[in-house]
Amino acid sequence: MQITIVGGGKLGESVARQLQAEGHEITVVDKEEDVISQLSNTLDVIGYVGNGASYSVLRSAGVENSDLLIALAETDEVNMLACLAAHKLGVEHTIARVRDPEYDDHLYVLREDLGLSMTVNPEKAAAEEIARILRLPSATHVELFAGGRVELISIRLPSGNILCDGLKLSEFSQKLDVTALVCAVERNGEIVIPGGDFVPLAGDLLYLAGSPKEIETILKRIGLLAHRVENVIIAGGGRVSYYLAEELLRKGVKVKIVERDVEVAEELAEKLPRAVILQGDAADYELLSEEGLNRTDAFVALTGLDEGNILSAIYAGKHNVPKVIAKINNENIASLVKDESLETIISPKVVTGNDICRYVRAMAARSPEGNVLSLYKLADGRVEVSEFRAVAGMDGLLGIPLRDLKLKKNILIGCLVRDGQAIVPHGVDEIREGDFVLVVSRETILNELSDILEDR
Amino acid sequence: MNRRMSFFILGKILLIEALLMLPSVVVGLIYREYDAMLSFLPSIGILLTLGLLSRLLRPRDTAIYAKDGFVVVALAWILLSVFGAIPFVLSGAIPSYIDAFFEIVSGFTTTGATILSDVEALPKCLLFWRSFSHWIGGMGVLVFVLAVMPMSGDRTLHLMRAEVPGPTVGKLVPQMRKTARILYAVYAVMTVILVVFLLFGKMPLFDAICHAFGTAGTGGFSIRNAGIAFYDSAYIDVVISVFMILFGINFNLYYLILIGRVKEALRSEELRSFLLIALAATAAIFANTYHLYHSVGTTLRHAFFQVSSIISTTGYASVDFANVWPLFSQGVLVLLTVIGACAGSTAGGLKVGRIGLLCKSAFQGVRKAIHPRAVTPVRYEGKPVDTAVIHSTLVYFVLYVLIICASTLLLLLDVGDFTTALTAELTCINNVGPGLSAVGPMENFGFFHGAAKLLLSLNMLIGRLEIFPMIVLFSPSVWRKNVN
Repeated sequence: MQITIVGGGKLGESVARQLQAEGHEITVVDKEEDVISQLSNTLDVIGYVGNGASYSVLRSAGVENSDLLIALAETDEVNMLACLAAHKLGVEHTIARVRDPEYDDHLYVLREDLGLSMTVNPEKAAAEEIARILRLPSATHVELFAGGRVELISIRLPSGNILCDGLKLSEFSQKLDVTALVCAVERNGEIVIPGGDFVPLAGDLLYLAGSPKEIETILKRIGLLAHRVENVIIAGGGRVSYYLAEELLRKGVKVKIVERDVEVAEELAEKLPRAVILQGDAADYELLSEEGLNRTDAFVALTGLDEGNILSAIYAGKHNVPKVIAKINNENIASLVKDESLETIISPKVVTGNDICRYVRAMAARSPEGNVLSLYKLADGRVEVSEFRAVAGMDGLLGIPLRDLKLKKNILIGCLVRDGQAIVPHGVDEIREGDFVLVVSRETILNELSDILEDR
Repeated sequence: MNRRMSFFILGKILLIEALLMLPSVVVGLIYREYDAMLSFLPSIGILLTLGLLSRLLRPRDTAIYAKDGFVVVALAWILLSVFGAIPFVLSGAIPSYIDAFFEIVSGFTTTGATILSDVEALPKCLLFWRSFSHWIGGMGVLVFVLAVMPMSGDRTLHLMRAEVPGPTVGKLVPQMRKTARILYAVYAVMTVILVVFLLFGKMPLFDAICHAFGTAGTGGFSIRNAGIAFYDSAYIDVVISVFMILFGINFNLYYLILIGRVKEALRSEELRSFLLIALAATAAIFANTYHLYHSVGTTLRHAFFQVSSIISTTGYASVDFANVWPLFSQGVLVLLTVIGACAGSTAGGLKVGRIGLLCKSAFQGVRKAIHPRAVTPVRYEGKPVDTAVIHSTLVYFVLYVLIICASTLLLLLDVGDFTTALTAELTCINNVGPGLSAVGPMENFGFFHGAAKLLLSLNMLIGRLEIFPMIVLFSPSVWRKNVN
């Protein structure tokens, strides 16, 4: 597909990189010449210098031939204008990044007029992801598939857990009487897609898929369902904090926010009357202890400083806070952190990049060539989980027991969703027409469901 | 630098060269020149072996940075020439390896200077290889590799930038691979059209193909001792003149025309200056040589042919201008040698775009001297030009002049007259072909000493790759293992 991206900042670059790798033709428009020359040096994209909200700039960049315009410029207004202009130029799909809560709240009024197909809000998306994780605190990540009917979570096996008794994966379902599937395992930085005879060890990071109920059951059986998060301390009072606090307060969780800036703190206090807003430095550990750091259920570091977030999160982890989450803007830093007390790192950029790519995949799926409904990347993108719809005419795939299918290496069918029910597949199950199929894959790019089969 | 990846790409290039030798083998089979044809097989064997060996080096890190791009391109062109010269030596057509090297470098760099005094004595398959090297070298080998080989697209712009002539390189479409394919498609289609035109002029098919290669790559190798003058046809002269100009135009403009943005293409400042210079030079030479021919048609035909041939840096000749024409006309041609054609074409020379920038910044300097506080950005193609671009153009020009001075001085050790040394150097670094005096259009470069031939070969490569890749290649810091 032809895709135009307005704004070549951090998010724009990461989205361009990902979409380009998936074979799309990318045009980037940015007002800074340096940004454009840097981007066109490192990526196989074409760049235009100019104001992406300007009708004439977009025309000269050939936007009318694009299938999709993604506006990721610095300011919301530019993004909305760019989408409006692109819409007028006949671009069918437009995605705008809109970050200001004031716009975000009332966007549904304008959406149609602006011709927006989708809006992304990295801060809000990050907040939603954090909220999901706080619901299942033992998980380091939680992803939803098939409209929320399937959950994919990752958990780190502590030593002494019954899962690391030297049993094979195939023996668990009988022993625990649950049906959830281990899709992938990360051990010492290596990632494997396990077979039935895989033996988990303490310290492994397991990726489990199943319906939310099954996931809860299995976590209970293996003793990893920590009790509910009832109070949370948030460091930093930025947008992510605001969205997160709002979400948590709605669920009845007690929230404390530590913010250094007086004005920001006052504004937060005004907008979130039920939260406790503390004016102070989040790196002031004295203050944190005073406010009950060692009694809180979770600590979330969301200041604008990556290093500060990591350090205060590790500090909280060392003080036995059960769940610690840090936000990071630069993933390169995240890869350096190897501290067991800090398992969960959230990057708004990555979360939003995944959202956008998922939309693009869905667009491509509607086109005749592909049919991936959604795609998630796990473990720094080394493992992909793709969602497909099984359609008629897939010979050699439908109606055949899974154990008789010849699958490629490093491919696993994670879950089937049939008539709204999630099914964890066994060897005797078969894929039927109309099923949603989750496929876990490593080092293989899947464009359609039949790609999972060994080439004949 | 990323050596593994660099050698990996070089391996691909060697494989491609083996592939590119096959048409010549076919020509040998057609004309039953089995001895000459067999001389290609050892080269193909060596290329395949080395190319396949380098596949073993499959690199983990595929990132190519700017300096890697320069080094890969420079090495690629040297290796292409080193192996491309072998068939000439093995077949006995050019017994000395240095001569053969000069000949093939002249081919790949689309210079067209030859050391052969009797071209027609060569077997047809070698003649074809010589002319075909123009066609490959014109658009670029790396661009060809990018078009046909699967390669991850990230950072490959560095490869293209190092090979495509001109101060700035723009892609036509987002994906590098498609850009390279479009360029080659335009190039190939225009070449075929030229062949058809030449066939209409009663040129034999083999001659038409070889001369089309020479024109398309703006090279200038002929397969006749007398060059294009052999056919003595006004029609052929005009067709080739027009096509030499066409191949001297930025290929991006053809793409713009293809997608219907004709007006935009015709508004190009570089294109207009290029045509204007060609027109002015033709007029000047016409006035200066009218007394020789006493016919408007003939004078115009020869003036236009020579101007078109030299400004596009092709180097065909329809008359022996070095001996027959007055000095003024010769001077105009030497100036055209330096100017060259448009960036992004197959031509050599300094490029009209660079000359435009240099002149404009010189005028701006004068204006600054008069109005020290005047704010007057240099504008080109309707847009203000970044000072960094002007700076790098000046740097390029200084290096260009320095190399010409040094090489001319060295050549004077070998040849007896100044005109020969200077025009031989200018014609080589600008990839034109003929010079004046002893290297005029009807002469050849055979009389130079071996060392001088190597120096001129180096100059041709420097000119074709626009200086920086060769200088980077010989910078020790690039090859040091540690990061400094």
